[in-house]
Amino acid sequence: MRQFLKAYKDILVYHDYGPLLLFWNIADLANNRVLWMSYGEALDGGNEWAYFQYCLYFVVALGMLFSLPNIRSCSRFVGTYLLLYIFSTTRFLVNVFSDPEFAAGDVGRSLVVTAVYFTLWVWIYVKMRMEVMHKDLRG
Amino acid sequence: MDKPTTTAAIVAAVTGVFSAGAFKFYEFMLKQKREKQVEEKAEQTLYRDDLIKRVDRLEQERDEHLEQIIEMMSELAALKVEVKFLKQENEMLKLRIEALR
Repeated sequence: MRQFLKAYKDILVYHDYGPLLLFWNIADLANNRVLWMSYGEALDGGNEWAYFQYCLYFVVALGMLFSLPNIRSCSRFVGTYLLLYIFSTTRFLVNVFSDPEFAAGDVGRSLVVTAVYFTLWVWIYVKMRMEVMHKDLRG
Repeated sequence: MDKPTTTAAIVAAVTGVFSAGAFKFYEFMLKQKREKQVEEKAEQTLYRDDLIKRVDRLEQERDEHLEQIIEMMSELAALKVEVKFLKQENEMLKLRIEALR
């Protein structure tokens, strides 16, 4: 059992994030609501804030995709993405705790999925920053 | 801005600042560790260079001494031959003196 868990730890520590980031990034772009929804539709549904947020996600994800070969720039985009993630999750949480109608929805599932995605992005960001740091130190 | 947005913006900003600080601190620690390693390596290199110099000097001295020994050996061989001839001459002279008596 210990060996089995160690194998997972080794995957997290030693395996590279590059291909995962590329595919995740493409999936994220394709899944972005900006591509599948017009601003008018968002305005009608009273979701203009969410639409702006998705616009920002889209821009940052595009930046990530195009800066993938340059790790330094890409890590900045991943950092911005993480900040956006924190912003939207906090906003969501504040809404859940302050609005009983909001909390009535499928909050638990959303939070679990968000937590897993957040861990993934943090892992990618930390790996990238470590690589940049070691590159800087090597000169 | 409404309350959730303001709270979210503050939380995101604070997290950003703290994480940037944490990374800077980690980078500083990493740099310190690296500098220490470089210093240790420099010390080891210094010791190694000193050893290389000493070995070079000793090898040079050994070569000089070997040349001196070879020179002395040839001189010794020449002296041995000379002594041998002198002994023979001495014996001959002794025989001549005895014959004269």
